[in-house]
Amino acid sequence: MTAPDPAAADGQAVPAQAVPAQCPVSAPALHRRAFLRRAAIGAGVGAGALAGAFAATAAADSATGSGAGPSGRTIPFLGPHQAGITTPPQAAATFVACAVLAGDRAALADLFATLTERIRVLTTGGPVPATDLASPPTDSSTLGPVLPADGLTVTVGVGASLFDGRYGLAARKPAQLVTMPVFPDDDMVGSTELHGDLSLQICADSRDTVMHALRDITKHTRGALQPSWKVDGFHAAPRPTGTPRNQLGFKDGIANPDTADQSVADAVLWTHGGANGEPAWVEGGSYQVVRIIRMLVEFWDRVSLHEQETMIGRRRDSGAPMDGTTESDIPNYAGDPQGLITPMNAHIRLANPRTTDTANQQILRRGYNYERGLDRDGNLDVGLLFCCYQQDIARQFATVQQRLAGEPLVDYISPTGGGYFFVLPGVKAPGDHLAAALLA
Amino acid sequence: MPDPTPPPPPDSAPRGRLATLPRLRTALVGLLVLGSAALSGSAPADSGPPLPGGALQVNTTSCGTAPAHLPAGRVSFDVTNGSNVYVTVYVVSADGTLAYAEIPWLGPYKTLPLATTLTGGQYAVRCVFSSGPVVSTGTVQVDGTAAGAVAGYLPMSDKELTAPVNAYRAYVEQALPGLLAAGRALDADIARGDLAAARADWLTAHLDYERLGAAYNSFGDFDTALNSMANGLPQGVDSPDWTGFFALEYGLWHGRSADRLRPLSRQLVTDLANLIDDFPSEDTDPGTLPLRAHEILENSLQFQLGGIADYGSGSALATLGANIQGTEELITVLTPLISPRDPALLALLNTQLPAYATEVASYRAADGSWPTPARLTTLQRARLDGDLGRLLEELAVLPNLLTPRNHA
Repeated sequence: MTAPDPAAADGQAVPAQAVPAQCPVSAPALHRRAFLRRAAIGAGVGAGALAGAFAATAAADSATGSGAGPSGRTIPFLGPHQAGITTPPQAAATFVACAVLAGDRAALADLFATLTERIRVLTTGGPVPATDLASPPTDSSTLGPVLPADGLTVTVGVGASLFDGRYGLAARKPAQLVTMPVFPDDDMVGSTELHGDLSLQICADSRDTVMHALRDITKHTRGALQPSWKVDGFHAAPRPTGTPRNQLGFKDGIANPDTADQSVADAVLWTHGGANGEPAWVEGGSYQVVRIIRMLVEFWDRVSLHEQETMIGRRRDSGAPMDGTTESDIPNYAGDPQGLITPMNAHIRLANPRTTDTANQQILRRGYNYERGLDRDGNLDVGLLFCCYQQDIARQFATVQQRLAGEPLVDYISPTGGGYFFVLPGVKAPGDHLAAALLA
Repeated sequence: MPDPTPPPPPDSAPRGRLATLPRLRTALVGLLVLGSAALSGSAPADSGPPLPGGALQVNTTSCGTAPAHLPAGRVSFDVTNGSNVYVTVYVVSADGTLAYAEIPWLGPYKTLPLATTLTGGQYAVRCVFSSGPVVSTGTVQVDGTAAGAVAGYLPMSDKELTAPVNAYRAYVEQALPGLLAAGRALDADIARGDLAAARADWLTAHLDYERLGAAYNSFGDFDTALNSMANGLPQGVDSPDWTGFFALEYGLWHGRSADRLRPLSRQLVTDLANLIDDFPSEDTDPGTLPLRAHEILENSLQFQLGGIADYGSGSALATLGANIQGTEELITVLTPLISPRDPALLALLNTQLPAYATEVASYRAADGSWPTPARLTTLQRARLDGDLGRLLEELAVLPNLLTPRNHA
C-alpha cells in the first residue's frame, strides 16, 4: 500500500513506487477483432489451450444446472472426420453459405486457421477471454460469461466455386464436386439461396447456442468470409416414439444406412484419397447436399390420408411400410412386383428400392424441419432443410433424385435453393487445421 | 463513460441505518484480507471457483492491499469503495506506463469486480478518486505465463484530445464556405428552373456535407434541418416540415416542380449560413471524436449500402466515398494519439481506408454516374460489405483505445 500521491492529483502522476524495470512486455495488441490483423499476428495462439483448460469447469457448471439450461454435452472436435455428420441430429441447426473473399491463397489458409480456432473454442466451451482496454468485448455474451459446449458442432464444407482460378486449387478439386444442377421438379428460378464457396452447418442442443456460434464466426472472419444465405432448422422430438416426423406428418429418416458400422460408412459415407478418381487429400471427407424443400402444407392437409400414405409408402401413424407393422420393418418389394401394396412410384420405393444394385446408392440423411414466416398469400413457408452426406453424389443423391423425378409427391413440395459442398476431412490433432491437406 | 472530472459527490454520507453497514463490513473484511489475501479469491460472475485476486478495500488514502504474488491467468479483485466519492480503478504495470483493466466508475460504498487475464510480470492496482487522490497498491508479482492475457495500453488523458478536436474543427471551418457555395449553386439552379443542373449540383453539395463526418447529428439541430431522413416523420416523405438534402433529393428525383423545390433550397442555404455563424460558438465534445471515427462508416453500412438513405438519386456509393474521406480526416487528426498506443492499427487503417476508397470509386462510370448497391453483382456487393465490415472491426478499437483515463 502506498500513500496518496499529492502530485498525481494535479496531473503529474508518477509511479507509486520506484520498481526495477521488469514490467510486462507491451506485446502486440491481441484484439480479437479483425480477421486479417489477427492472422498476421498468428492465429490461434493459445486460445484453444485456454478454452480447453476451462472445459471441465464448464461441464461441471452445466451438470449442476436445471433442465432449462444448456445440455452440458461436449461433442469432440478432433477426429478423422468432422463432427456433425454421424453425430445424431441436435435440436437446432443453421445452414449458412458464404462467399470467400480472402485475397490470396495465404489469406485462404489464414481463414481456415481462424475457422478451426473458433470452432475449437466454441465447441469446447469455457469462460470467454478477458477484454483488453482497447477493444470491444471479446464475446457477445448471449450465452453468458462462460460458454456452454451445449452439443455444438460446426461442420465446414467447400463448394465447387472455391476451386476456380482464385486460389490455384483447380487441380485439387474433389472429383465429384460440381455446382448443383437444376432438377426437373425444382423451383430455383430467381432463387437467392443457391450454392456458395463455403458452407457451415451449425448444430447444437439450443437455438441460442447456434446463433451465438454463427455471430462469433462471422465477427472473426469479417472481410474474408461473407455470408450469402442462411436457413434455420429444428429437429422435432419423436412423436410419440422412434424417428421424428417431418412437416408432412410422416416419420422421415427411418432408413438411414448404419454408419456406426465402419464398413458401411467406408462404403457409402466417407471419401477416400486415391479411390474413385479422388485426390489424396479428401481422405475422411464427405459430400454434402443441401436442399431447401418447401412443403405446401395447406394443400397437403387437404389430401386424404390414403392418398398421403400411398404417395409416401408408409403408414402415417406408425411409420411402418405399407406391408409392415412397425417403422423398422423392411418392405418386401419383391413380393409386390405390381405395386399393389406399395405403389411403384411411392416415395420410399423410388428412393430406396432395396435391391443389391441400389445398396451403394444409400445416403445419410441429416435434415431438419424449417419454418420461416408466410408467403404473400398467407401460406406457411415451412418445409424440409434437406441435408445428406455421401461418398459420391452422382452415384448416390443424384441417382436417387433422378428416380424420384415426377413422383406424385412433387405436387406438394417445392425445392427452392441449396447447393453441393464437399465437407472437409476432420481436424486430427491440436495444431492441425481444416483444409490443411487441401492447401498443403 | 468515466468522466475524468466528475461532479462532486453528495456532501453527506448516506443517511440512516444502512449508512453505517458498509463501513462496518469494510472493516471486517479488511482484517480478513490482511491474513489471507493471497489465498482467497473473488467469485467470478458465474458460479465457478473463486479466481485469484481477493478483496480490495479502497478509500481516498489507500487502494487496498493486493497479494504480493499471483499466478498468471485469470484474476479478479473484488473492489469495495469505502469512500464517499467516486473512484476509477485500474490494473496497471508496476512502472505505471500501461493499463490492463479498469472499473470505469465505482460509486461510494459499492463493490464491483476488477477482472482480467494477466501473464507474468509486475503490476499494481491504482485508484483514481473523483476528489483528486490517486493511490496505488504495492507491486503484485504475477508468476508464469498465461494464454489469452490482455495487452497493456498507454493510457490517455482527456487533455490529449484538445489538439485533435481543434484540428477537426479547423477542417470543418475550412470546408464550410465551399459547402455554402455549393448550396447556393443548387438554389440558383432551382431558381432559374434548371432541374438537370440542380440534380448535378445537389450531389456536389450533399457530398461536401457528408465529407464533414456528420454522423450522429454532430451539428445538433442544424444536422436535423440539413440532413434528416423522412422515416421518423409522421407523414414520411409527405411531411411538410421535412427539409434538407434528402427532402430536396426526393423532390428532384420524383418530378417535383422548381416552384415546389425552391422553398427547400432557400431554406437549405439559410441553414448552411446559420451553421457557419453558429459553429465557432458550438462546443465539440472531445469524446465524440474517437466515437465518430467508427460511427460514420457504421452509418454508411446501415443507410448507404443498406439503401435506406436513397431518396432517388442512387448516389449511395458516392456518399459512402465521402464518408470514407470524413473518416480518413478523423484518423489524420487522431494520428498523434493512435500512433504511440497502437501503431499497427494505424498502419492498417492507413492502408485499408485508401484501398476501400479505391474499391468504392471503381464503381463510378466514365460519365461520373454511380450504380446503386442493388445493381451490383452478388460478388461485388459481398466485397463491398465484407471489406467495410473488416474496416469497422478495426475502427471499433478507437473509442476504447482513446477513452480518457486520467492518472491511470
